[in-house]
Amino acid sequence: MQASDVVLDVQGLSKFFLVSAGGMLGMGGEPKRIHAVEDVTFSLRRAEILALVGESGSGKSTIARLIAGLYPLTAGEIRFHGQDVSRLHGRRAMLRYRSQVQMVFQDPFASLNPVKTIAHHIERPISIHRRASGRRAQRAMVHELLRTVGLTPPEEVAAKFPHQLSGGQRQRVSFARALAVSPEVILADEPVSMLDVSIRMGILNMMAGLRDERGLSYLYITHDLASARYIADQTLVLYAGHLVEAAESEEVMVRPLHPYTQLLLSAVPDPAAGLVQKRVEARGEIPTVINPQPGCRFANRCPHVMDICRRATPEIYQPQPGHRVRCYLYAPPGTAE
Amino acid sequence: MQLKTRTSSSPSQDTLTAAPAAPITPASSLGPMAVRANRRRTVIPNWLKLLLSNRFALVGSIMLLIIVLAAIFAPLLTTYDPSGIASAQSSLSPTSGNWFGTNQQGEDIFSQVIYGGRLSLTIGAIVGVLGVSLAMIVGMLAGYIGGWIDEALGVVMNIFLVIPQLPLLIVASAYLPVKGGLGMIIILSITGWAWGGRVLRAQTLSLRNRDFVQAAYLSGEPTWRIVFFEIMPNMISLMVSSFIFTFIGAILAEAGLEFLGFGDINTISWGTILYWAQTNSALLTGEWWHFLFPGLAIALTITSLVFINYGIDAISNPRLRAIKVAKQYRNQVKARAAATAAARVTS
Amino acid sequence: MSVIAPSLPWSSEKAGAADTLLEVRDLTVDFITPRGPAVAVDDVSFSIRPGEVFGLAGESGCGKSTVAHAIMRLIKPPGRISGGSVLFRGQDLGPLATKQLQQFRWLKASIVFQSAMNALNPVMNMGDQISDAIRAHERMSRSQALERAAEMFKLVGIETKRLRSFPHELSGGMRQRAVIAMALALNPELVIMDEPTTALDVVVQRDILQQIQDLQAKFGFSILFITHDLSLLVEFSTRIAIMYAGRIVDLAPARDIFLNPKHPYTVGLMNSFPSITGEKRQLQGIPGAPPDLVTPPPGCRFAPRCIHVMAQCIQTYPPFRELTPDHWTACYLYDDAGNRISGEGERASL
Repeated sequence: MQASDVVLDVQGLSKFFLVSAGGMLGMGGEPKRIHAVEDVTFSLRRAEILALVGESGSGKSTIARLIAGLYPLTAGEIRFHGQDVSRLHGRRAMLRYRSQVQMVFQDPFASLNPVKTIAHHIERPISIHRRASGRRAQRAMVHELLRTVGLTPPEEVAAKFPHQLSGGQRQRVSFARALAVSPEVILADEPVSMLDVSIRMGILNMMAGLRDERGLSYLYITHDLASARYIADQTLVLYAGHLVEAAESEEVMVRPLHPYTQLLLSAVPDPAAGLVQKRVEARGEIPTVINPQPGCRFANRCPHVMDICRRATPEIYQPQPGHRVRCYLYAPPGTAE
Repeated sequence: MQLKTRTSSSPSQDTLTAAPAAPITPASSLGPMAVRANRRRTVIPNWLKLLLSNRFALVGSIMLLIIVLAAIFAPLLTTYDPSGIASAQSSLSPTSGNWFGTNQQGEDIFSQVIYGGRLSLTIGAIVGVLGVSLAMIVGMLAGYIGGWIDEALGVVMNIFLVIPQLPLLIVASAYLPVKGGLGMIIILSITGWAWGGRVLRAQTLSLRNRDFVQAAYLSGEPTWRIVFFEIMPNMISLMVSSFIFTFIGAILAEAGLEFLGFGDINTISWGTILYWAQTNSALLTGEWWHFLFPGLAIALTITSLVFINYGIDAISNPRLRAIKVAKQYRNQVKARAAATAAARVTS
Repeated sequence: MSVIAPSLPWSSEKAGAADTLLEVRDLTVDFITPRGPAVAVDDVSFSIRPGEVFGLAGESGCGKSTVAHAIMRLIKPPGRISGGSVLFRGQDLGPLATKQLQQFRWLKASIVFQSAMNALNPVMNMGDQISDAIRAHERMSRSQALERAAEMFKLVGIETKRLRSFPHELSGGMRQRAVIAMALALNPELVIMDEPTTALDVVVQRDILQQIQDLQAKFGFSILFITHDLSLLVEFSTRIAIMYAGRIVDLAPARDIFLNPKHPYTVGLMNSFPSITGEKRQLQGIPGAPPDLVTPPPGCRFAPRCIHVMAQCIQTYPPFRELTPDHWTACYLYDDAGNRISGEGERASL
């Protein structure tokens, strides 16, 4: 693992949203903030797929949007090839970053402009980032990209409007659009959640294929652990804005350390486990984290909760190399009182 | 460690050839303004076809067309000078010589109505265009940029909404240095855009959070391009509706002002005809033709515009189309059943 | 393959196979489109026994929600039931007038719609909404209805003080529980659930499904469970029907569908769910797209995407036959005795 291999490095990322200024007419009270993301650290290497797994409210989509630069972060650093990109100044710097990190959205129906052709969607980034000059070259590139994502014959598809394509096809167009700028990283925000089950594998296989062929890296955001295991090299589990576990995907599935990961794994319907009926004790729901108290956010639902869990937020420990957990159960002896 | 895929040079994962045989034609789309050449030589835009297939819009379009053509070709339709003495006989009820009769000054009312249409329609149309343009710029900027610009523009819109239009028009027209048509256009545009502005702002707000706009932003599109080329094309039907209602409002306001005498009473428009009808106490003297025909002209113009708006609603709302199609299908089935029954009888 | 559990309490052996609660016979529903009628449900037949969980699986556009609406007689123009019948305890629901339907709805059968939790009235509190629903179908005073609502909330695991809350004050999981409580309020014999947990997180989903199971064990109602998540159905259903392009292609007890899927579409569907445990292998899903329902292919609807397609598949639609006891399939790959007649991965030259 070379340090130069790291493409995206995220350190201590936090994002708080102000809900109300607090007090009367915004004065005199304590401001209320949602701690959507707090202290998240990870790195993405070249030709690697990193899965951010979590349920709703875990902060996974927010992390993607922070990296994409859709909103400013509250604390922490995002480094792309060592350069700080969390505060970009100037249009040129912003454009350059956009040509390096792109995003694919969850909803295939809302991702495309209903009154524009497919060609338009893909031509615009090509034109803005000057990847090809002249109508003919641009058209050729559009067709090439459509072929890459498996939409053929490209001439026909390019002339169509979004409503004439199926969900899976639209999602492929979104990928083609993202690929138009030849990015190094694609942030895929639940790219297959809204697609039919039988179509999902095609898209996931395509993503993995692009990783193998072009050395593309992905941040794959999902709530589906099974698909994370399928294509992701590394898996990060998020709970209520905190990173609670991070390791190689297989490791997380086979040897989950954090009680939340264990709960998640036990709740997923798994056909390969046969027809064994699992009974899962799942108390409570994910808290909305407004001005949270110190302590582990999972404490109220954890079967192994201890006193210290409610008093102070656990640090991230590494009980095994390459496997990080935010849980006092794995704190080195002497740290937990 | 991680499962490597086979070479993904098998692009036929999701080819078009496996796609639905005949995708739903753009008849059921939101109506992009794409012009598609049919096999026939005439090129009729799809949106026009869709609009005219709606009965209301068809009737409205024909009505409006007649009125507009009548106003344009007024000299061809009447030999009388609208402000000149038409016949020695004044206060004639409608006859074959004077279709709409004459007023107390002997002027032919028919000529007055169709010549008057020129001014009324022109003012209405220009105010419509100016009003919508202003509403568009203010509304879209406020909606897309947000922040303090939105707040500031919101205050401006609220001020114009709160001001009562007619009293302002009356006061302004009394003091405005520019009289007549131009003055009217200015005043009506200034007071008539705010409602459309609010509506377009709301629509912009809802569109701005859609994924495709975020995607355009992430592609590096500059703001002005996003607003005018990504968001605006999705608001066309709303803008056309806004134009229609501004047009209607302008016609009514203009007629109202002229009727009250605050316009230039020496010009000829539907409102001034009504003004003279009022001044000459046409009601009392029983000269119903003096106010009925200009009033009818106003009413029919507005009705035709409203009908066209129904048509636009039908295009934008797929549900309305589905119900209509269901009726069509039922009629088709009945017709086919009748045809087969007839065929059986004859064979 | 891991150990198979002993028969589930909801398995068909226990549920009195001779007794039929709901029977759907040759149901056909079409929708008028600008291009002509689209047949959303084509000749669908199945029956639900008392106390069983009947799973209906399929992807978008296969017609499963339409079946649910047809059973509850909720099909409106441009849709219409153009053929077949629905019988509840032997009584045909077709000729029933609105008044009689009111007796049927909610008292005998109720439905939980997709995203029902998002369709709650935002300006009424939960107690009022549930008592409204109750009093629409049974004569009761308001206070009695509220008492009933409180009972139901207790049953589904929501604190009764939440009756005074508004929908936006409850979490997604609680709202869905409330909607289920509403559906169960008048003790129906059949509850139709259309994607009840799709919009929920995985842990909440499991919690609610467990709750539903407990309630079912207690009250003995049948469930028609509609979802695209086949892996969920395999765990929770007694019997499963797989729908494709308006037709049922595979119908069998859950265990059989899982261990012995017959129709290639079912096989493809099972191959679309990566697993958490077990060996890792490349999955292909099912390339291609469902057919156009206005002009469906003349033969088997799955033929364009099927890797085992043969000449006769394109010509005529395979008959829906019982190949092994209680396992029905519509596929030419099998002869009448249930044996597979062709080899692996043949693709007929077309």
